[in-house]
Amino acid sequence: MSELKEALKEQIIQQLNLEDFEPGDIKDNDLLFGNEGLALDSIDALEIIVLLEKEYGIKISDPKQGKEIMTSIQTLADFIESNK
Amino acid sequence: MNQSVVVTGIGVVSSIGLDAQLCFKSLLVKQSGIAPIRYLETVHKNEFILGEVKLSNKEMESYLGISFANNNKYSRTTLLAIIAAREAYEMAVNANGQKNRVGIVSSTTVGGMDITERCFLNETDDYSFLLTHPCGDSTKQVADYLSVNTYYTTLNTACSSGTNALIHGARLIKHGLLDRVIVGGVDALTMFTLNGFNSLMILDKEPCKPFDLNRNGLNLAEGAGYLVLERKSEVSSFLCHLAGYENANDAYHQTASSPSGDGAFMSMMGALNMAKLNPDDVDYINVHGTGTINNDLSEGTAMIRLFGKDKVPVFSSTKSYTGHTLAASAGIEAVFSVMAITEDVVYPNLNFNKPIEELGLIPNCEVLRGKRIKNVMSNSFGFGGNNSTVIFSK
Amino acid sequence: MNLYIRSAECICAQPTFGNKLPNELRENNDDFYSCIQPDYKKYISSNILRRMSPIIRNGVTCSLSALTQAEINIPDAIIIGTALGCIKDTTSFLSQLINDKEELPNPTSFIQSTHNTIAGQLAVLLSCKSYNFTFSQMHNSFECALLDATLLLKEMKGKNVLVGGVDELIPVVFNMIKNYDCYSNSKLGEGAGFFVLSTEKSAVCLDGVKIINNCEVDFDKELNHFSLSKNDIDMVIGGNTSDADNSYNSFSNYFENIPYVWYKPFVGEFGTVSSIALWIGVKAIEEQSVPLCWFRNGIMPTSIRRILIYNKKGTEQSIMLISRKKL
Repeated sequence: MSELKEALKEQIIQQLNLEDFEPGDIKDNDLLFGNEGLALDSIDALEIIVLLEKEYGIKISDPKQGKEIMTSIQTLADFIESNK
Repeated sequence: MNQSVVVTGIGVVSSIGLDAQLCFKSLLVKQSGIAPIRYLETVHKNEFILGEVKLSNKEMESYLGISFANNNKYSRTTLLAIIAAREAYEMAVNANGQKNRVGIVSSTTVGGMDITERCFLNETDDYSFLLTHPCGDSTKQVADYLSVNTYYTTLNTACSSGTNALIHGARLIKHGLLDRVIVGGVDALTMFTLNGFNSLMILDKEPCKPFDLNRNGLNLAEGAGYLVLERKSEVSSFLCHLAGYENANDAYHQTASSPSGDGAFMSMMGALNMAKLNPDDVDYINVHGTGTINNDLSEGTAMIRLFGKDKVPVFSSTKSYTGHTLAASAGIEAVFSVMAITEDVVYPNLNFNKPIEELGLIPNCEVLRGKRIKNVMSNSFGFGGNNSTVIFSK
Repeated sequence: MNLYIRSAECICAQPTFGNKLPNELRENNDDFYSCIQPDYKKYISSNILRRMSPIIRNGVTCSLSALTQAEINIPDAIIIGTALGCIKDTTSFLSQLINDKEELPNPTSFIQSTHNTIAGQLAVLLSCKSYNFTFSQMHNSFECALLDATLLLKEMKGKNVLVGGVDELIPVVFNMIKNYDCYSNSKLGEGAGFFVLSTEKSAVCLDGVKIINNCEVDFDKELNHFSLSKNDIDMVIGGNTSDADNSYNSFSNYFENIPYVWYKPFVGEFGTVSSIALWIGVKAIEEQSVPLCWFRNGIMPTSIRRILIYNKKGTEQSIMLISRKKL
């Protein structure tokens, strides 16, 4: 699980071009979206949906569903685990 | 400078017809042009439905009587543009004769992308194909084809482009820089746009349902729509007045519309002010109405803000017939708006079932005739928060 | 109605950004001219910068600096010209979807590929809800934007318009356009030139911009239109790319013996390069001098009251006229 979370952090930093961040800067429960934390937006959400499908073979066809899954690294990892 | 500007010609090609009259007939019999993919080469052929113009490039060439001779490369975009611009221009010339300084202000979002794609796919070294890539190419080709090249230019503000072309063109007429101008937009379907909008997850695999509670995205499409504008004082006959227009920016997000619909509110308001009309004077709104969750909610919110909850004028989205033709949409819908005035008709909105809860707005779903249609508003909104509204009047 | 250029900013292969006209020109041994990159992070937060391709970075940074110089927070309109738009994002999305057989291309490059991304980003960054246009007409893209800006201001639709031209050069484009006949004598380049055009008085007046297609320019007639003759022009800025570029012969002959500045040999050729020429013209009037290295014919002006800028590519030509106004 913690390996998965580390991998996710690195993939997200790379995919979203978050130059100022290191994986260590992102805590498992930090909010990914909104004004705090990483302050990602809807374009990033689409990128993470692509990432989930490419890296983990998980397809999300309803962007609304994505919102809850992408609350934090923790919720993303939980979702990936339960869909393996 | 305070010259009245009038519309003296219209031309359109879309999935529901190759000219204005054919499109008009389809609108009246509720015949949508959105169908399984026939012409576009894509791996998604059996997955999506599109509003394709029902002609191959070869068929378009013979329809126009032109060919790929003399190394002239015509993109599908250019072919579509010539079909609609020629129809509009000939109507204006037939009505009011030749004019001295004539130009064209066109718009397109992806220009000659169809040829660029072929070039990329073939991995060929023939870069001359890419001469057709710039947005300005199709405009120049049309200008040369119709000999209307005193001035030609191209706008690209995504899906509001066509109205912005109209705004710039109207300005050239008002300031006396041109005597006649063709304005509008064009886009051909491409792998690029299909995959692009698919990556945004806003394509409906079923026919789009503008302003419906269960709307699920847009259907991509292609086509072209052009108007001819002239000074009222210099023509003997015209179709209607260009009464008002406005471009405003949502300044909210690169792709999404704001929940409050600020940009849409400002563009509609500004156009009304310029036309010196009250909200009550609007007889019909041809809405942007793409059928995406975000657009219809934001646009509807702005309409309620401007007109009042129970006073929103009769409205419909003709994208339920044509699909979303990107830069062409504003040109095509401007032509439909002009015909709504000349024919006193309001077109139905297809595939509507239940109103969006937050709005409670119900689009017009039947052919409305018998009422005098004096003022028509047409909305076009695009990426980059770009919102434009135009108003035509009898 | 007089229209003034309140501020001018430029990013190109020469050290122009935040600067006067450079006294020395950088040599370039590459196949093309790349921009000298300013410190973008001074202008744009890294959370926004991360998605921006070079054209968006240069366009936005150049714009923000021009606005700061003019002491304008929010302009009344944003009007941009770009010949090829966000071509890097466009080609990267296209290559990706072709290489991956249309499976899961990344949405960001598609979103950022639209020509009006620069103007749209500026609207969001500045909370500028007004008029926002992007023109794309090959070599007249910037001139069309400038023309639209002048018409807008003459209609009293505002006092200050941000107007500019911007393009980026990437290898695909380089391969693509080096084969144009009209580029055969030129090195290609990239850059941005942005201005605040205003109804409020400042030292440089934009007297006119004219686009001329498909015919030989009659300079007597064009100058006449402004009640001017050749002798009223203190300096010209010509768009020839080299001495071998003979498409400017009639222009050079007409303005023989008049101080002649050129710039494409130092910044390269691209669709909106005339915005760089306008920046040079504005600086020349503001500073009342131009370093010797910019002159083609070695004739120096005694005073610089009026400048004519001429650009030509194929059948597309433009003239811009600027003059000094006493404050």
